[in-house]
Amino acid sequence: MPSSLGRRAAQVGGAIVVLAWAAALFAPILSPYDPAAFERMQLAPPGSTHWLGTDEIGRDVLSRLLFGARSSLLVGWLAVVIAISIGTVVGLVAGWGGGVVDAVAMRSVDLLLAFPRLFLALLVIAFWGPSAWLVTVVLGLTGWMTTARLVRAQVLALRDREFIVAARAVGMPVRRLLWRHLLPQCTGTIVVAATLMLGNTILAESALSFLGLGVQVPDASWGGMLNEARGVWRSAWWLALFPGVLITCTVIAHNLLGDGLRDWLDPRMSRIESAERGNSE
Amino acid sequence: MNALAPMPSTPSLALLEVEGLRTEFPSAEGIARVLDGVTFTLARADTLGLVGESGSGKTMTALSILGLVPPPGKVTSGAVRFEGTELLKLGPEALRRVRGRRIALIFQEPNGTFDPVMQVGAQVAELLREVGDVETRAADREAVDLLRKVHLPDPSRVARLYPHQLSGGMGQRVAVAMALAGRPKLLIADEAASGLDLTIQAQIRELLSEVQSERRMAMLWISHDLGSVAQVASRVAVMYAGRIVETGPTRRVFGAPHHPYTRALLRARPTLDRRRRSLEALAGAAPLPTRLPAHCPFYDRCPAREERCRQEDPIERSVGPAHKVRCLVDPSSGAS
Repeated sequence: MPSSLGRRAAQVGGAIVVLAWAAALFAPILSPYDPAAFERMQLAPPGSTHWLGTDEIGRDVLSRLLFGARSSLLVGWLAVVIAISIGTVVGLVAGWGGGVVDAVAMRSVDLLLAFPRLFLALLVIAFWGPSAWLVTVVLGLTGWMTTARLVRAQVLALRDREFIVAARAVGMPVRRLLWRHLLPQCTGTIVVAATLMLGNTILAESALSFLGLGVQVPDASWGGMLNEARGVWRSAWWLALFPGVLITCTVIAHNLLGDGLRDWLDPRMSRIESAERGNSE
Repeated sequence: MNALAPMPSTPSLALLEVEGLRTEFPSAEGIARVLDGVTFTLARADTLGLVGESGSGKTMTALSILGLVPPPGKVTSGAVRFEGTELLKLGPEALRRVRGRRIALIFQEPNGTFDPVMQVGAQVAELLREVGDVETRAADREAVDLLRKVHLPDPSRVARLYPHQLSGGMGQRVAVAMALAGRPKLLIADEAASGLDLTIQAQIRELLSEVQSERRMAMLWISHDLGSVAQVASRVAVMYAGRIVETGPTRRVFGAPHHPYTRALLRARPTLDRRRRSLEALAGAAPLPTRLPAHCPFYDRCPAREERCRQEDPIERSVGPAHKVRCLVDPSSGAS
């Protein structure tokens, strides 16, 4: 296993994710300009007054990128939290319950997976009108199926394990069994699913904002900025390059972090050290 | 070593009565009847040994009593009365409250029966909270007390270990502690000492006998090891092909076995003080649970079989004080 390389990649990924969150949190402090303010200079190339230039109507690109991080990360992470929560509960219940419960849950998953995610999102947005919150909820409600399948598979593999049968034989309540003994065994799976989904969801948010269906002006978003750059990117390359690079880097960073977290969180690995170090609770 | 306890307050009422228990699994080859009318009783604070070869249904008996038969298997008929309550009629939640609090089960290979990613002390504490009605704050301390009770050296250190760090003997002691968490009236020990080395086996048996007399707990000791049964159990039931073929006081069953299968089992075990050099293995195999015959299931392998054994299925008959056997043949015809 290329562990040192993998660890380094995960560290880089993690650092980028932390940086992105820092940028998002401290955007009001870090931004040199008001992201919605029109400056005199339009389409100014990167330079000493505007480090990353200005756009067609004279807004500071750096400030907009910093505030755009808020939209991308918040929408992406919230949507994933929603998706993971639903998926985990559905997967646990389906895997444990079996029979009819399982059949109904898994056929619903199949049904939902048959629809392209963006199509569903477009449909809902066409009906309710575009907004960042709606995008979050829609991406959350359309993203849980893979997690449900993974968690279900994990529960099926675990439910007949001797320690689960033994715990039942001494009277452990099912609720606690699922929550305290099955769920922790699924952590690795869930974390990997979540981080891979984060990359995807951030990308989906960018796509929807690019189409003008996500974050609405005057709020900044990376997808929206790409859209605004469409007409002029041949001459004003900085308008397309910086948001594009940020989307790419953020997505890759989340994926690298996910791989690293899986190795680290896997309950079957390296518990000995913590036990030997351990103090009483 | 197992002194009979004083008479319980309700002498006539057995703690556990299993009657005609039948458990079946649907399969591609037809219905597999893994339990075919298991019947036995167990008195309060008494120990019953359940012996038989692999696949005879010993473990399935334990799982059927507790409602833990893995699907698609099902208990299809029979009765399991525990303290007068019919367990087979209880709902899942009521049954769960029986498990741990009234009846606890421990398995062979203790270390596989713990959550691999949780410190064992935390697992004992969790169980104390859930089935032992211990307050959350006191649970950790009581868990260490319980580990001390099963004679684990340095219990507060053991409490912080993960299952894979325990030796087999330590693991079985922790398993006993967990089984005791709900103060059960019956402990089912399914091959609880098998697979451990001999001195550890003896220690585990000793520990169980100790807690048993201390807590006036009955025990169903399931084992293929006749020696351990003789050590632990005051009564013994011999299983074959999903039924009990002989039951009675251990001394009688092992001293004067009636059923040809019991005799075969006794001859198949190694001893030091006999002149016989080779063990007598029993030829053939038990009938498949999908193809149980209408006549005696032991017929094919029986050294004492007669023509009528192929015509009828023997019912249980008494052959001595509390000694019953399901065999048509009179044992005087065979040497034992």
